[in-house]
Order: sequence, then structure tokens, then C-alpha cells
Amino acid sequence: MTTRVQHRATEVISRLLAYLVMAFALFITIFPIYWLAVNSFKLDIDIFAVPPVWFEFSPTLKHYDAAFIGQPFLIYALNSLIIAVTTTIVSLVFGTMAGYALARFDYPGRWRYQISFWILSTRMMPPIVTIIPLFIFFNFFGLLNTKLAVVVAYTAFNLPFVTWMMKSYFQDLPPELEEAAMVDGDTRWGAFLHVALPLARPGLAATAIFSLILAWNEFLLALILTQTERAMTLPVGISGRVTQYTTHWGEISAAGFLASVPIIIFALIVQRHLVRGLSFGAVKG
Amino acid sequence: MNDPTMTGTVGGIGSAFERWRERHLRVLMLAPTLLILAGLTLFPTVYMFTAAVQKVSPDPDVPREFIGLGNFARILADPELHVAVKNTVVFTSIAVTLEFLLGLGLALLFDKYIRRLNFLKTILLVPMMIPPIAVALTWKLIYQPQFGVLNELMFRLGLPSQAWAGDVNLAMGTIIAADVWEWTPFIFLLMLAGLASLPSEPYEAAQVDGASAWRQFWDLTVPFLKPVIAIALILRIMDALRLFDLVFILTVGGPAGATETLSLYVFKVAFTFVDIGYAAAISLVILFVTVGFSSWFIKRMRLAD
Amino acid sequence: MASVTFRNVVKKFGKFTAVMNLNLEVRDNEFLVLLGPSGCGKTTTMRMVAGLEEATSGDIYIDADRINGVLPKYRDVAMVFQSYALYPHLSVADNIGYPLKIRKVPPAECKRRIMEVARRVELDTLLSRLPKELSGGQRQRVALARAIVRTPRVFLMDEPLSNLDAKLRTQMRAELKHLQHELQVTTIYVTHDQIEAMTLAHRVAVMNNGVIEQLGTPREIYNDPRTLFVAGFIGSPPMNLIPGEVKNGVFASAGLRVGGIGRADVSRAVLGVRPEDVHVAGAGDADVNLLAPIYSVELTGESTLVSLRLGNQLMTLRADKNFAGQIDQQIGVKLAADRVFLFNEESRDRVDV
Repeated sequence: MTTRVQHRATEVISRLLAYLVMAFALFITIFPIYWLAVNSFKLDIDIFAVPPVWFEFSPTLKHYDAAFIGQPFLIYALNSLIIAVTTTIVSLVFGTMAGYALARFDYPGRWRYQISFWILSTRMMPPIVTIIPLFIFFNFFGLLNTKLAVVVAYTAFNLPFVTWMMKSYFQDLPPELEEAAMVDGDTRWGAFLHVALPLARPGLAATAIFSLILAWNEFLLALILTQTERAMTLPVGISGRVTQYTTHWGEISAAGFLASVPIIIFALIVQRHLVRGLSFGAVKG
Repeated sequence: MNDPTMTGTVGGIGSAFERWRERHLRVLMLAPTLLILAGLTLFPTVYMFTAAVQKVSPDPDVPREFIGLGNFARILADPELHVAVKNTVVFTSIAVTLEFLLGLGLALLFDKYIRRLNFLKTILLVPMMIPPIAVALTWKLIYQPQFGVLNELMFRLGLPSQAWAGDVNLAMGTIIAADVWEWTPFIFLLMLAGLASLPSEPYEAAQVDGASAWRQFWDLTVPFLKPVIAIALILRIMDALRLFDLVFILTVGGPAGATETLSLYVFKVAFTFVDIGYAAAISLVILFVTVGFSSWFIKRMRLAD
Repeated sequence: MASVTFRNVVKKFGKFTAVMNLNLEVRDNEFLVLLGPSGCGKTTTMRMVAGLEEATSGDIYIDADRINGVLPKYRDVAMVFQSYALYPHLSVADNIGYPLKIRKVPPAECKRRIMEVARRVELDTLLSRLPKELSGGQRQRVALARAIVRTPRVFLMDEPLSNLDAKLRTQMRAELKHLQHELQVTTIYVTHDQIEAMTLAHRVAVMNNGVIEQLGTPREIYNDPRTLFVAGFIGSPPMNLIPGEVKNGVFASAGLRVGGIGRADVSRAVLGVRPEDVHVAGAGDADVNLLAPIYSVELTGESTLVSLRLGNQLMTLRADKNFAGQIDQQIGVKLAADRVFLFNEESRDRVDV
């Protein structure tokens, strides 16, 4: 039987402990990223210094210069961007229509379940399983080491994701709005364009950003399908500078940090939709 | 009262194209996606079936020979493969368990005490959003034996420096630690969403009935959260089983195969040994297991309804 | 301004039959109400006119045009949805003008019509607002305005008043009635509220389980119910329906006796009588149909609802507002002889006396 005062005391202590734990968690989260960023601006002697230099160092942009101008990281970044944008656009166009169809239309018997199921399981397939056939396939058509190949491969994984997400967002819209539009004079297609799409805009934006992030971050498929700056993406470029002989720490820190910054910004924008995106729409944040 | 400006529709039935399009809309909107997906998944599967039953030499001039289930038999006898599977399973079990406990714990704390500070949540999400490559090299930096901060910390604590990623016994631990750093936010976020959706009335009733915070947790919170926990765990497990990026950069499967995961091994077989047939066989087995498992998962969680 | 005809219309959803062999003709300029409980098929019937559902079999005509399979946009009907279905991303003016915009009406003409219609429903000061900034009543008027801006052949209304509070509902009922009269448009109105049906309709089609149980004017439905369902559904408080038997020209059930029944015996009968047709007998009056104890007394203001215990059910009567009875007090009541209905319990139909 605790008294009011005792209860308050435990409350305050618990709260304090919670804050401490959170602060620690924050520190653990931020430090590695801080460290990466800071290293990209340090001179080599500071990078290799023992004990490590925490704050006082003279910043330099030489690694950024070496990476983006000396090495073709700028081109890698551009490749990543082009690939990410292209695959997102293609996936959005087809995936949104498919998501709408699954959300609104009746399909006979087991078809609907089979289709949904197939789309979902495509997303769950581990990429490693597809690397051999994809490699052989693109090799056969002489498309290895092209951005097109990467876009096609990414689209295979992105389409199901977009379809699933948009299906979930369209299902959130009351069907009466589109029915009203049809009675008012739209066709079903017209109602899709004029009513459903504008209203699903936030979901569309979030899905697009997710798609961009996933494409930008992807490593394995790009590793296999690209070899030179004709198509190489940023993650693959970075791994290329981590060889068995030497690691160009400064350069890859610069490239790695720069690769992360846009993602951090995007992630902040799409925060509210993160839970839905990460859990395949099973959990609505 | 047939308004002339509104006619054109009264009694009319629209162009033939429009009628055809509207009637077939449900196929037209879905077909492109299905076709693209079919093309991109059927071909690989078919190819792998044919490759898996052949012996494909790295030398393109040597013809392929049909060896039936030979590649599959090899799977059963390949020690390196078994080690890879073991590594993968060990990694997954430990990493996901840690991520779950930490993620849930943090979510409970956040939900109870720190609700209002939303931007904190934002910061905590960053590790799982940045490119896995960046995560890998960040931790490579930290684990660096000569100038990495971890050994500095060991020194300050009076403990001997370690080779970390280069140490046969510690390498797996380093991978696990990096993965836990990267993915705990995932569990955290999902648990938080689950906790936010909990109804308050049962808790109020429990309080009036005299249940302690501990009881409330076990009797109310856990059952309510079961579906979210299931999804979070299974998604995380599936992803952990595929681990590639982190290992490729941090340890390349070493030292001495201590951190060689299944994905890494298949990669090696396919692109270093160029043993396409065998790689295809392994991939097929992985595919079956994955499809089987995800069917069960999809059905159980009723994701496709 | 058109007639709507249903000929042998059936609608099935998989194994479930929502509408069974419907035959109905809605006359030109008529306000027809489809009345019934949820699930009776009234909304489905209306949606078939709109083109949002297609009949499984049978034909539907607007005037002489067979509309089965015709896209909604070509049917020239307007619909007011229960939830109003206003486009949340468009302003009031754009909501109202949407049907015009779709049909490529020139902007000047659009504007003129929108203003005209807005003035009529008193929305002219709210044209630039968004739906989320409007009250329930205002949203409903936007939905109405959107429907009338087009001067369609048929109006369809799906329980448009059910989301309004009671006071607003009464107000809007009057306005709707007036509007329909002014516009002279054939209207099909769906509701489960029998008061709405009674007050608004020229004719009412009472539906239950996919069939029309009775079609008639409100007065006919009220005074001359043809089936048990219609009798029990219309009227507030509802008609007393007392199961019993007819033997030798007398209906008997517990303590109730009603004589003068000129027909053969019916073993399972139901007697129907409205509360306002049951009168409290005078103090010394011995010629009563029932002597029973009072179960409850409720003063409604303009009358008193008295419930009597009859066997294991209650009989309600409408007494004078100054009625002074007590619970458990025994009173005698008389039933107005010409206002009593008899039903066959098995067939659920009215039998003539």
C-alpha cells in the first residue's frame, strides 16, 4: 500500500531514469553518424590520430574533392539518382493503377486472393535468389552494366511495393466519392483521375519517396549488374574503394555521408507514413 | 426540360472505345503490372530450374551437362554451405531477439514518459533509413583496430584492444552489433505505433480492479500487441536471413568464414567460383523455403484479403 | 421529368438475393419513397437506377430508354448520397459545378448556374469554403445543389436526412418537399424512417427482404395495410399486433375479446389495432373488449401513452393528456370496431372480416 507521496517519488525517479535511457539511446544513435560526417571533413592525420580527435581539427574539403571530382563519385551519384527516379516513375504509374484496381474492383472467385498473394510474395523474395538469372538475362541482351538493366531489376521489386501501398491508401478513401463523380458525369477512369488520385496524393507522395529511398540504398543487385561509371551507383562505388589493400577512409566517409544526407531529409518528410510502408500496410501508423 | 447544353448525354451511350475501356477497366488497370511482374519473375524461376539440374562450367566453351539432382545432393554434403546456414541462423536469432527486446523496451519507455517530444522519434529512425553501405562503413570506421573509437574506449576502460571485425571470435558479434544499431529503430517504430493504438479503457478498468503495472503489461499490453509483434518479428527475421550488405563491407565473410552468411555464400558460388548450376540449385531451395514461409505468413496475418 | 420502370428486376450478390422480381412504375414527377428496414433492398434498387449496380436480370427503363448496361454518366440522373459524398479537395462552388465541368459547359454558363442554384439553397455566401469547414446541414445543401444544378431526368436520394439532428431534419423535410414540387423532377427517395416516408411521398413502396410488400399513397399504407409487416412498420407508436385465434366470430387472446368477426375460424390470427383507435371505457361501461392492468403511463405532452399488460405482451393506447391512471390499476378499453385489422399469422397477409 504505497502512499501518495511514495507513489509520486517512484514516478519522478522512473521518469528520470526513462529520460536517461532515452538520452543514452539518442547518443548511441547519433554518434556513429556524427563520426562519419566528422571524418569526412578531417585531414588524414586527424582521421588516423590515436587517441581520436573528437572536435578540434581543421576541417577540409579535400576528401569531397577527391571523391566527387578526382574519383567519379559525382557520376555514381548521378547514376543513382537517374535510376531511382526512373524506377520510381515507372513503378508509380503502373503500380498506382494496379493498386486502385485491387482496391475497387471485383475479381472472380479465387483470382483476387491469388493475385494479391502473388504480388506480396514477389516482394518477400530475397534478391539473392534472382541475381543469377538476372545476370544471365541482361548479359544475353548485352545490357549488363547499363542503367536500364538496373531500372528493370529495381522495378521488379518496386512494383509490388507500390501496388500494395497504393491499394492500402485507396482503400482508405470512401467509395461514394467516386460514385458521386460517376453519377455526376465521370466514367470510372475519369473518377480515378479527378477524384481518387488527388485525394490519395499524400499516400502517393509517401510511396514515391519510399520508392526513391529503397532504390537509392540498394546494393546487391547494383553490385552484380554494374561495373563501370556507365551505370555504377553510389553504394557500389563506395564499396569499390574498400579494397583488401587499402581503404580510402576520407573519400568513402565523404561519399557515404553525402549518400546519407538526402535520405535523412526524405525520411523526415515521409515520417508519418513510415509505419505503413515498412509493414506492408499491415500496421497503419 | 431537356436542357440542350446538358444533352449529348441524354439517351446517348458514349463512344465504342469508352464503353470498351470502362467495361474492361478492371483488367486494363491491373494487367501491365501483372505482365511486368510475370516477365520478371517467371523467367528467373524457369531459368533456375533448368540451370539447377545442369553442371555449368565457368568456361563458356565447355558445354553444359545434365546431372539431374547432382547439385541438390551437393547441398546436403557441402560443409561450407552448412556453416553459412549456421552463421545465418545464429546471426538472425541473436540479432532479432536483441532488436526486439531493445525496440520494445524503448517503445514502452517512450510511450509512457516521453510522448510529447516527437522529434526525438525522428532522430531515432535515422539508422534504418540511411543506405546500408553507409551503416557498414560507419561501423567499419568505429571497429578499426588502430584508430577506431571502440578500441579507444577499451583503452580508457583499461581493457585490451581487440581486432573486432578481424577477430574470428568477435567478428559475428561486430556484425550483430551493427545490425542491432541499424534495425532496432524498426521494431521501435512499429511497437510505438502499436502502443499508440491501444484502447485506454481496459487499463482504467484494470487499475480500478487493482492490477499492478506489471500485471497490466502481461495481461493487457502483450495480448493487444500480438499482431504487431508478429508482423515486426517476421519482417525482421526475413530481412535478417538475407543479410549481405553489412557483411560484404565489414568482414567479407571472414575471418575464416566466421561471418559468411547464406547470401554471401551464394554470391561467392555464383560469381567467384562461377558455378552457376550449383548456385541455381541453392537459390531454388532458398526460394522454396521463402515462398513456403511467406505463404504461411501472408495467410496467417491475412495480408492478402 | 421522366418515368422509371422496373420490369421483373432481380439482383443477386453471389448467392444472396437482394432484390427479388421487382415490378414498379415510378410516374412522371412523382415523389416515390422506398421504405423499409436495413437490408431490404431499397438502396440496391435505387443504385440500379443510377448505374452503380447492374441488374442480374430484368429490365429497367427511364421513359422509353432501356438503361441496363448504360454507364451512369449517360443516364442523366442525379444522386444525393447519405454521406453527401462531397469532394473534399474542391470548394463548395467547384463541388456544385463539377457535373457541369465534366460536361464541358462553358465557364460563364457554369458560374451563372452555380450562383442560381446556390441562391436557391442559401449557400451563396459560402461558395469559396471547403466541405470540412461546413456544418452538417450546409454540407447537405451542397449535395442537393450539386444534384439540381443539372436539371436531370430523375433525382435519387439515399437517406439524405439521416445524418442531421432532429430539428434540422424536420426543417429539411419541408424544404425537400417544396423543392421537389418547384422543380417537378421525378424523385426516388430511400429511407428507413417511416415519418419521412409519410410526410414526403406521393406514393410509398414498403420493402422487406427484397420485395415490395405494398405500394400506395401514405394514406393507403397507413389506413389499409395489406400485410403484417406493413401494418407493424408504419405508425408511431406502432400498431398493436396481438396473436390469438378466431372462433365462432370472436377473436380471443388472453383477456381480449373482439366480436363481430364475420368469417370462418382462423386458428392462428393476429389482430391489429392502432393505439389511437383504442379508447378508455367509461367508469360504468360494461361493454369492453379488454379489462387489464396498466403496465406504464407515459405523458408525451399532447397525449398519454398507456400500456396495458395483455398475456405476455403489452397493448398500447393513446389516451387524453389528462389521463390519471396508476400502474397496476385495472381499466377497461374499447376498440373502434371499424378500425380493427385481422391478419393470418402464417401468410402474414390481411384477411377480410
